[in-house]
Amino acid sequence: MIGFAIPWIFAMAVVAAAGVTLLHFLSVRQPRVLSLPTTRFVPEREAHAVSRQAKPSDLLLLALRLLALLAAGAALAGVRCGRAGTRVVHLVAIDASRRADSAAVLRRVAVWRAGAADDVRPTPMWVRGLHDDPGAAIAAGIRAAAAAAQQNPALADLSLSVVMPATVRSRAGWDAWRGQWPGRIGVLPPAAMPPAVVPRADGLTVRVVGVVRTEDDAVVAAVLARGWAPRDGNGADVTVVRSLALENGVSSSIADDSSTIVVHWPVGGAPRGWRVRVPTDSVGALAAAGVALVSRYGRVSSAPAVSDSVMALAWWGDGEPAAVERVRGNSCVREVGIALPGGSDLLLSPSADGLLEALRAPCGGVRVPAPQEVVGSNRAQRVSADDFRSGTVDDQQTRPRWLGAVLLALAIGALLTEWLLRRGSPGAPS
Amino acid sequence: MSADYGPMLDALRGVRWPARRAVAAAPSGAHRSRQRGTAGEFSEYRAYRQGDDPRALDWRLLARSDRAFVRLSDDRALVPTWIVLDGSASMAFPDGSVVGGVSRSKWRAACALAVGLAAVAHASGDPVGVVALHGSGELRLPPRMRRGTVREIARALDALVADGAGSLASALLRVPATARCIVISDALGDHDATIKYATMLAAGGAMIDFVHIVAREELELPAGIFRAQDPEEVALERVTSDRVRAAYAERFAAFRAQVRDQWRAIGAGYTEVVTDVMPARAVRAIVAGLAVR
Repeated sequence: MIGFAIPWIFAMAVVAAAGVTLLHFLSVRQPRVLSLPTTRFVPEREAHAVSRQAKPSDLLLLALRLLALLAAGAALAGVRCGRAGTRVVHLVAIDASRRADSAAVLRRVAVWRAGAADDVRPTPMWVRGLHDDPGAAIAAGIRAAAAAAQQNPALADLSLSVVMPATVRSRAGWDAWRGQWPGRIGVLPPAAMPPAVVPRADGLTVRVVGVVRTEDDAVVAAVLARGWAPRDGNGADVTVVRSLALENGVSSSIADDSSTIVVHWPVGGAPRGWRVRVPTDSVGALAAAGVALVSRYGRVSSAPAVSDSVMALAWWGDGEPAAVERVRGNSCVREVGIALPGGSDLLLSPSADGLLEALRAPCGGVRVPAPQEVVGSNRAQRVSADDFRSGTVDDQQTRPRWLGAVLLALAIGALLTEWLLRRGSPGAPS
Repeated sequence: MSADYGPMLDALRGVRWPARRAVAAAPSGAHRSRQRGTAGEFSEYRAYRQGDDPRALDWRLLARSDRAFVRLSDDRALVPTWIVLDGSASMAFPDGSVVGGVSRSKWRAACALAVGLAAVAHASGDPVGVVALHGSGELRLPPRMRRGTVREIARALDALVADGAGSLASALLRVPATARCIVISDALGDHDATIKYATMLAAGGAMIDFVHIVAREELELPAGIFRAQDPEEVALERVTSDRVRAAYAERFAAFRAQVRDQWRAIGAGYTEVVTDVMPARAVRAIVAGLAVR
């Protein structure tokens, strides 16, 4: 299978070769001889007559010229030789968290693809963080498409389908990356997938531990003001721990009860595992769930590094996490490093809704509806593979790489031979 | 005789070719002679001068008037006519040209004119001879008056082929100054030398006529692009095209005018004959000293 990185260059070489061939069917010849006694009265002037011929002249020269043109054109166009690859690739982006039940997910994808008009076999692409932001699927799809286009010269069309969860934490990445994929993106409806997350119902109950006088605690006041029902003992939907360390009973309840969300919000604002700031600094705002809460905060601790198991829930104004979520088995523990002065009414303001919403949200963070790319259609539209070939570093190189040098050497050799032949032919200028 | 000349000779029957001026002393013939003698037709008396032949004295007049007079009379003389033909390669042009089923190259036209002129001269009682230069040498038939001379000339010319580049001037050297010399040529060979010797010949008293043969194909260049090659000078090559046609015609006309002036300057007759003109018509024009129309 032969392909070209820049096909139009080879097309130009082919056009030039056709022109050269055409010229060989024309011959510039001396005019016919006319015996004329009065030749001396004809003014001196150069003239050539051009005529067409049925057969091309100078076949050897023609062959050398064509060889030089086509070889140089192929080298400059980045000819690629290799096995013939598939012309169409269908990428299906699936959240990496579903890899555990990949058999079931792929079976569902196959069932979904069964209704497609083509017989293209989908290529699964496990994407981490897709449930956080579907933009990760687009970024991964672009990388995979570029790699596929580079490795497969015959590849002409690409399509991307995303197995989209019903809700995601953010659509910012999706909105930012969506324009980078030149075609339409198919969305596999969440109803087609086996359920992974059971949404929780509202009407939360809250248990606050670690405070002596609940009426003086700003957090307790805030959650109660928002209608969270106080509840003693295990079984509360949200357990707010205001002490410096999690109590043993609370830790065991986390492991046992996956439906309980534990919010570890020490009064001093320095959960265990956080780095205490010495000296403390101040910051003017924090943001959570898309809502900013502006105040003058004293920052006493720094959050641990964000990773797959540690996810940021709220951010200080300078971008540092103010609250994180740690995965604990099937549940999670949320640690808040925000120090509030006693009797503060800051959390009672509507601007605090974002922070409290982030804290009460099911494990996995605040969810928003997942983007639906196409209403009424879940098929991806193919895009040209050339869109993913251009702009890459090795786009113009031949494959194998030595082929370009060989072709250029062949072209130069053919030109030299042609020049020598022309010099040796009778009538050539010395 | 070649059957080609039959109609022409029929058309020329009765045409006579008087000399343009009195001819030198020669055997008695049809043309007025510069010599005045006793023989023949009485012209006038002249007083006797010392040295006159006493036999020319009119003794009766001397006896009656005691004055010595000699009787003078006009002599009639023959004019040997030499026809000099240019048979160089340029005269073979145009090769293969056919007019009325007959090849009409400049050479063939020249031969027809030569035969026609020979017939007219012979009919006038003059001896006719031919010098023809051609590729393999020179044909020389001395002037004769006997019957069959014209046929002999025609047969000899028919056997020749125009080729090579013979010297027309050298042929003129062998023409006597008392003769009438007809030069038939295209003036494209050694023309300057020919003019030079013709001048000497004319100064000697010869009557010279130059018949300039021009092919119709030479007057205008053929349409299209050709590599023109001079048949007598192969190294000379020019390219013809529509853009040079006008300049060519202009140059060739100037050349013909120059040739005409050169011949007339030495007192020779000049007649330009184009190859597509009927030979009998051209012969009449030459004999009358008129232009062919």
